[in-house]
Amino acid sequence: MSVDLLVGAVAFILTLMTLSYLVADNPAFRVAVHIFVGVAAGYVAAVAWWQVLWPDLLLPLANGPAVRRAALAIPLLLSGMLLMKAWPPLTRIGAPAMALLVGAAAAVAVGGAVQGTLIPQTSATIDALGTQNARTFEMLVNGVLVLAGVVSSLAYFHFSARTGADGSTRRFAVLEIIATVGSVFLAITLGVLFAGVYSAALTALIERLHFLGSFLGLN
Amino acid sequence: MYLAAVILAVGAGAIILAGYYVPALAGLQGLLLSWAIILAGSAAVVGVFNLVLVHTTRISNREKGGVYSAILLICLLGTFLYGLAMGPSDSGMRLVINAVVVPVESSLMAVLAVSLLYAAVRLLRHRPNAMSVVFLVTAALILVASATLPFGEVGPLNDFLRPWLQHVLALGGARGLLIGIGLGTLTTGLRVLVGADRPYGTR
Amino acid sequence: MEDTITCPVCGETNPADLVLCRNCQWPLRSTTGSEPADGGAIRSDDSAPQDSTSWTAIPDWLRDLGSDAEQSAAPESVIRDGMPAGSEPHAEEETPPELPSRDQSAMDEVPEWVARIAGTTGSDAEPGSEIPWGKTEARRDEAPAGAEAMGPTSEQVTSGQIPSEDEWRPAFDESISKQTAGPGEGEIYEWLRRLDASSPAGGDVPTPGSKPNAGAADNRTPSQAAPVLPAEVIPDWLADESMGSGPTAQAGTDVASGVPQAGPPAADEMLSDAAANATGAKRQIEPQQNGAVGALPELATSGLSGIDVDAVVASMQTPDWLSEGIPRAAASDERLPPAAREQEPIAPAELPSWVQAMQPVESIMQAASGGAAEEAPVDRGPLLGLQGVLPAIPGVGKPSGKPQVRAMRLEVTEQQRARASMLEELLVGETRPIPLKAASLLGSNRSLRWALAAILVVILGGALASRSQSFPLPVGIPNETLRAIQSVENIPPDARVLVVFDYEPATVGEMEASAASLMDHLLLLRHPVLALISTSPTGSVLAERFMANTLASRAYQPGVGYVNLGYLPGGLAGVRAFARDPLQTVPLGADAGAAWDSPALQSVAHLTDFAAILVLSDSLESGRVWIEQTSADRGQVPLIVVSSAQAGPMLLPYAESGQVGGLVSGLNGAAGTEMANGGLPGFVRRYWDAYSLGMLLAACMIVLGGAWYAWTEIRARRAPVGI
Repeated sequence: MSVDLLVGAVAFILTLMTLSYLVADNPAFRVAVHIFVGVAAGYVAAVAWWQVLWPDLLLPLANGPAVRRAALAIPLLLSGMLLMKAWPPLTRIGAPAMALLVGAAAAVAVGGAVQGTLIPQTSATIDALGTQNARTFEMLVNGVLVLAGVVSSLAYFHFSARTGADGSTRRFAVLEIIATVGSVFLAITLGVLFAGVYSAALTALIERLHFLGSFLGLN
Repeated sequence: MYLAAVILAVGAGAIILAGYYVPALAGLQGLLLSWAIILAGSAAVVGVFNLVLVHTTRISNREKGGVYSAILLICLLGTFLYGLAMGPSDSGMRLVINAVVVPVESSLMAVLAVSLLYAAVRLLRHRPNAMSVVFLVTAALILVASATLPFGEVGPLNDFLRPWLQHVLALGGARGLLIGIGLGTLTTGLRVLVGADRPYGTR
Repeated sequence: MEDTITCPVCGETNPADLVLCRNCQWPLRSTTGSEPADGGAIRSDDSAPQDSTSWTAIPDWLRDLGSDAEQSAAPESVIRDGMPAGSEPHAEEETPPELPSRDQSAMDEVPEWVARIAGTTGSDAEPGSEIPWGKTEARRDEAPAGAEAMGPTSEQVTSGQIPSEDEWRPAFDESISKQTAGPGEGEIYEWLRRLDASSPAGGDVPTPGSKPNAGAADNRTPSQAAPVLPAEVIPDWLADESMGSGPTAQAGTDVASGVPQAGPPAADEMLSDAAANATGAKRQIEPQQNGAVGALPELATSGLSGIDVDAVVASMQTPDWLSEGIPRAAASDERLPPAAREQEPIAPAELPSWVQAMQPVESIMQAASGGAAEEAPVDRGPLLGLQGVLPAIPGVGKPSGKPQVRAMRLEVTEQQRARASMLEELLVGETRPIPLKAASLLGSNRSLRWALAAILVVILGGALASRSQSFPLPVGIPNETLRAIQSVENIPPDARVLVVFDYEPATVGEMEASAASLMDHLLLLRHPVLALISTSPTGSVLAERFMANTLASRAYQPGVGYVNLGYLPGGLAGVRAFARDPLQTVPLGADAGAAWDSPALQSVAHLTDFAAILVLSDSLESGRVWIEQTSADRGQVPLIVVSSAQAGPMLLPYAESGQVGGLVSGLNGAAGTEMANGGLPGFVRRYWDAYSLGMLLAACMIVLGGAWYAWTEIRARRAPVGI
């Protein structure tokens, strides 16, 4: 039996076991999922060792220059502390390592959000009404609609409100109207997203059926 | 320990953020980022180790589903040891991924198609309101416009309605969502950088 | 409740541990720490002037009675709030008359009619006649002892000799007993009863909140009993106005029973008029005893002290009902100790006129409301002695150093609690989950799910198996896809292109189908050298799979045609680091070899050394990370995104804003690239029929399902209630 046939057979069986969930939850499905999780976790651990810890930490510590080795002492120590998080009694020891990770990620996220999303997207919304982009009436109308969608969808997530005379908590009337318009835009956006997600899942189903048919020689 | 964590988070974050705008700090930014990468790799190992611990406990306690945990542990250890020995780029490792991971994940995604369709069909039963109707109508129009019919496309649908829905109305909503996500990221990140939020552990 | 205290002022129920009422800030406890303050009601006898025997002055009201004898108003039979209609406070509408002083010399001004009254010893009352007492007031707390009811004769008054109760009481009783029956039993004329009860030694001193006992009237001294006057000595005006004074004992009985009684209309009116004339504006509210009709207007202290009550009463014709109580009064008189009978009552204190003018008029509402706690008089401040005072506004006139602490507990009565529990039981019964039967194998939800799955599998499988190509590919190409194709075509030949495989194995089928045409187009036209990298651990394997299977026709060899840089850890931090310094961040390749030293990537040192960056992403997150983190470092290097259909709509804003050089989204977008590539390699064509059938089927199911549930909802609403 060739390796490809073996691999195909395993894939075929596992595909059927997973698709059996369409009928109902069953042991075959559970076995397939547990096999998948185990293999994936083992592979991730191997990749983390070979492509992160070994080339970036251990190898330079062993063979690198003294300055670099000294500099790598800190991540080595932090990595050891991070490993302590696997034991509940020693979880607190891993807090500094997690803090460095969190702080670095937060800073990168802030920088990227400002430079990569907030400024460019806001500028694009405004530029859509500019003379360069709104050359025709249709384009101008579309630009206005896009601006209205942006503003109203942002207003929809504004939840500050005040208590009225009758004790009820409501947003400002103008904001409520804008938020209602925003909910319509969001409903349309989510409808488009739903169509996209279904399209992706449908394609996956088609690919799996095609594989099954190919394995069986039907395609 | 707690104070050291706060100092690390705030200090590292401040230096990295400043490195975006101060060229002199670019080197230090790179150093801290390299440390973060190493720690991320270590975190992946910690996660796998925790997974092993959980399922080992389940087996030792003879809990329900212990057989499945045993299968998981066997596959995990086998894959890890093989990958540790041969490397992740080994052909055998690729075969294992192609034989196990890809089919199962793809099949799970395929099951999602039925679930999504089922949920969409029953949406109005659980949420009979105007927004649900708008949602379903939009989804149906995009679904029809994304496909073609044996006799060809439906002209107005594919040429006008679908582009207008996607590139005007949905674009406005999506851009609003992205700006909102950006603002939320900015707020959350700044709160972590000033020490107001400490998700890495407290006293 | 045992642990609560009722505020005497506002009636609020407070916890026992509170010092101040939480509603009106009334002190719930006296400063001495004794039992909860009942308002410090002025005991009827505490402040009552005891000078009940100084008949040295005739009040103006009594003088006025003579002039008003002809002006008796029409009788009113309406009882307001349980009080006789006539016993209403009218004082506030009239200017308070000048209160008489207790000056002995005032007796020198005794009018003739009073003197005539004082000389009578009693007479038979005309049968059936009523003696209006309406204009006569008595103060319960300071009724002159003995002589207040049947005061001395005119001669005695002028001479300053005040007879004792023993002297005038029998005559009074006798006169009263001869009166015809009055309007009914139980009529309460508090003022008359007080006339008898004013003796300090006699009977029980009623205290606020205490209920009168039946023997209260019986315990009065003989001096407190009203003397019997013959009818012939009672002036006509007094005979018309006074009515049914009632025997004191009878009044006492009525008091004990606490039953509000209706008095004769004429008498009631006259009583009220007398009260108004006598004391002026204020009448004292009697919180005790019966809370009933018995709260008659009271006479000013000096008003009674200076008149010849003997003469007044003697001139009255007592009705029969009044005379019925006389024996009891007499009996009570006998039970008194000798010392009490013989002892002269203590003279009431002399109050200045302006104080007497301030004393409140007895309120009708007090009798109707009932409850000693609500009628507790004020014990401090300018309203000292007043009863029925409205509770102070919290915080007004009181030092408000601290904000009021209000209990959050809801105070409910037992009845409310019972009703609430009943309502709660009803609600619980409504929301109590009914045990459902075990879902049958053919339940509607599961059968629908099976049906949908079966339809999809059968239709899609049939389309794939038949290799049908009945559905044409879309003709139009989206603008963002066109830009992606143009960006690819603008890449210089043999350039270095970074390809990011940031998708999961779940979307392998779609991503490979979507990216295949574009990548094939790139490789075919520009045969670049590819650098493969991924932020996903399984990305490097998927990249190898893509290169080996999807682009097998291009025969790209690892190390020559492409270099697999492997896994880039750290998420966005890793991408940021890679964008800053790729060599430092990923020193080794996926095969652990020196990737950057290979001939393929020798010329690459920075991100800008790549001709293009191609990101294959199935999620918004990974695509957004690469767009954001490389925006500052890639310069003019175009970034082209091939995304899954689930991420395309959210990545479209980046394409529209120009941050992304092009966007290919899903099979629909890939159809355009496949057409631009001359139909190669054909994944889209292979799947398109099944894809179109699946999309159309989904749209139909959604429409049908929505229509079905809408119709069932309408039918359910139209169905009559109860079915």
